[in-house]
Amino acid sequence: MIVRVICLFILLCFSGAAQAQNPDGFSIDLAADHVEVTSNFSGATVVVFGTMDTKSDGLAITLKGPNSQVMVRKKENVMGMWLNRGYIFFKDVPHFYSYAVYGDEKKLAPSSVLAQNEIGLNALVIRPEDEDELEESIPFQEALIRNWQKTGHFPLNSNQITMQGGRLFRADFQLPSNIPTGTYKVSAYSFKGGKIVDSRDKLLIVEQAGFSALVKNFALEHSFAYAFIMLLIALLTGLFSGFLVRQKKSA
Amino acid sequence: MDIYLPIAEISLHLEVILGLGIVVGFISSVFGIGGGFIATPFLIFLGIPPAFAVGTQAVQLVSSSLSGVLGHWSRGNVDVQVGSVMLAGSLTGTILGVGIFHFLQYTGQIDVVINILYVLLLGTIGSMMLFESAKTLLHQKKDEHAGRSAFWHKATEKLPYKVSFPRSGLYISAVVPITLGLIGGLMVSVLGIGGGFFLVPAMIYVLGMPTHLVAGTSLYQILITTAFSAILQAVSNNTVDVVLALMLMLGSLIGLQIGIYASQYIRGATSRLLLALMLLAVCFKLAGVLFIEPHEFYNVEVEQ
Repeated sequence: MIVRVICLFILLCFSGAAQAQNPDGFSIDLAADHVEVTSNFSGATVVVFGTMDTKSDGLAITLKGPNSQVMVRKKENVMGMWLNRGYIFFKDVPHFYSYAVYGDEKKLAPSSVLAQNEIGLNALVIRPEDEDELEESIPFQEALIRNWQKTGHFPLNSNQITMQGGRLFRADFQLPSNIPTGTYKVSAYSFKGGKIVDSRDKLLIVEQAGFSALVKNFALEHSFAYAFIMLLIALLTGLFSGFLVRQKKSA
Repeated sequence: MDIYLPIAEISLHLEVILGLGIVVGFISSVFGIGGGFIATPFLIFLGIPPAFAVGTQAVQLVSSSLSGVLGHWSRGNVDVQVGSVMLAGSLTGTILGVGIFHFLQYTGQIDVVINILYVLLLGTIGSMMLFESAKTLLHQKKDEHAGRSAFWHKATEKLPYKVSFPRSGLYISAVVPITLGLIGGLMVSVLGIGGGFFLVPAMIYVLGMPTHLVAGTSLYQILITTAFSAILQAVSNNTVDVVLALMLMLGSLIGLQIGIYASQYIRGATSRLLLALMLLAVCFKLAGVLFIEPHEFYNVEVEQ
C-alpha cells in the first residue's frame, strides 16, 4: 500500500511535468513496471494510472501477456475411452489478456473499432497456424477462451477505469498466481465520438526474482551441477530418514 | 500458504504438497513400497505437467529407496550381483523411457497413456493382492513357501547367457534379470514410480530369488536407476523441480515416522488388504477420468 501511495505521489509529480508540456495531454504510467515472481508469489495487482485528454469522451486499457503458440486438443470417445484426437495450433496467442473501460463498453465506440484494437474479449484475435483450418478452429478457439477464463488468464468481464478526481484515472488488473513470465504490453486508448484519437503503450515485465530466479537460472545454465546438488539433497534426506527409522526400531 | 515452483513455473499450496509427501512416506513405511503410484497421478491432478511430475518424482524416489536400502544393506540382504545385472536393463530402460515419453508428448497422448498404464498396473496388482490377502485372512492360512513358479522355470530355461549368482543360489540366463530391469527402468522414466511392487513379486516368481534378498536387491536397483533418471531428466529436459522435490521429501520424512508407529498395529495380511484397497481406489479414480464423459472436451497446452 505504501508503495502504491509513493507511486501515486511520483506519478502526480510526473503528470504535473507532463502537463507543463502539454496541458491537456493524454498520458499513462504503471505503479510498477516490474512484477516479481518470488517463492511465495500468489498473484499481483497491476495498477495503471494516467491523465485523460480534456477533449476525449472515453477510455480503454488493455493488458496483454507474452505471445506463444498454443495447441488445443479435443477428446473423443474411442472404444469407450476418452482419448485426445483432433488438435489445432493457434499462433501468437497472448497467454494473458485483460481490459478495462471507462463507462459503458458498448457506448465507447462501434464494435468494429474496438475489434481492430483488440479491446474486449470477443475482439481478441486468435488465429490458427494453418489459415485453411479457420472454420473448423472456431469450437477450439471458444474452448481456448473458456479454459483460460477458468484459470484466470482471460477475463469474464471488463474491469472499470475509475476517475480519481480531475483528469486522473486509475485501473487495476489482477494477475493470477499461475501467470506466465515474460513481457506484457499495456495499451491505453483515448476515444472521441466513437473514434480512437490517441493511444499510449507501456511495457510490463513479469519475471522470477530472488530465490526462485536463482534456482531457475542455475538449473538452466548449470544443469549438471543442479542435478548433482539435488541428488546430494535426496541422498542426505534418505540417509537421515534411514537413520531415524533404525533408531526408532532399535528403541 | 502458496509456494511458487521455480522450474515448473506454477504456484501450489504448500500444505497440499507436504500432505502428499506425508501420505507417501506413511505408505512406504507401513506397506514397504515406494508410494510413487499415488504421488505421480496426484501431482498431475494438481496441475503439474506430467513431465515435471515424473521428473521430480525420480528425486523423491532416490531419497526413499536409499532410506529403505540402508537397513537391508546392514543385514546383508542385498545381492549386488543380481542387482547390477538388472541395472544393465534398467538404465537402458530409463533412456528408452525418456524417448518414449517425448514421443507420446509429441503425439499428445501422454496423459492418456499414463492413465491407461496406471489403470492396468494398479488394477492387476490391486486385485491380485486383494484376492490373496482376503484368502489368507479368511482361512488363516500360513504363508506358502514362495519360490520360482514351474511355468517361469520352463519358460526361461532355454535362454542363452547363463550366469551363476552364488549369493542367491541361482544359475539362470542373464536375459531374465536384464528384462525385468528394463521394465523397471521404463516404469521410472514413463510413470514416475520405482516399480518395486512389480519387481518384488517378479524377482520371487520369475527369477526364483530367496525372499529375504528380494526387497533389498530391488531397492538397490531402484536407487541407482532413479538417480540416473533424475540426472537425465534434469539435464536433458529441465523437468526436475527442486522446490517440489524438497517439499515432497520433507513430507515423506514426517510420514515415515508416523508410519513406523502405525505399522505396529497394522500387520501382514491386514496391511496387504488395506494396500490392495488403496491401489484399487486410485485405479478406479483414474479409470473414471478415462471412461466417464468429461465436462470439458478440450484441453489447452502452451508450446514452449
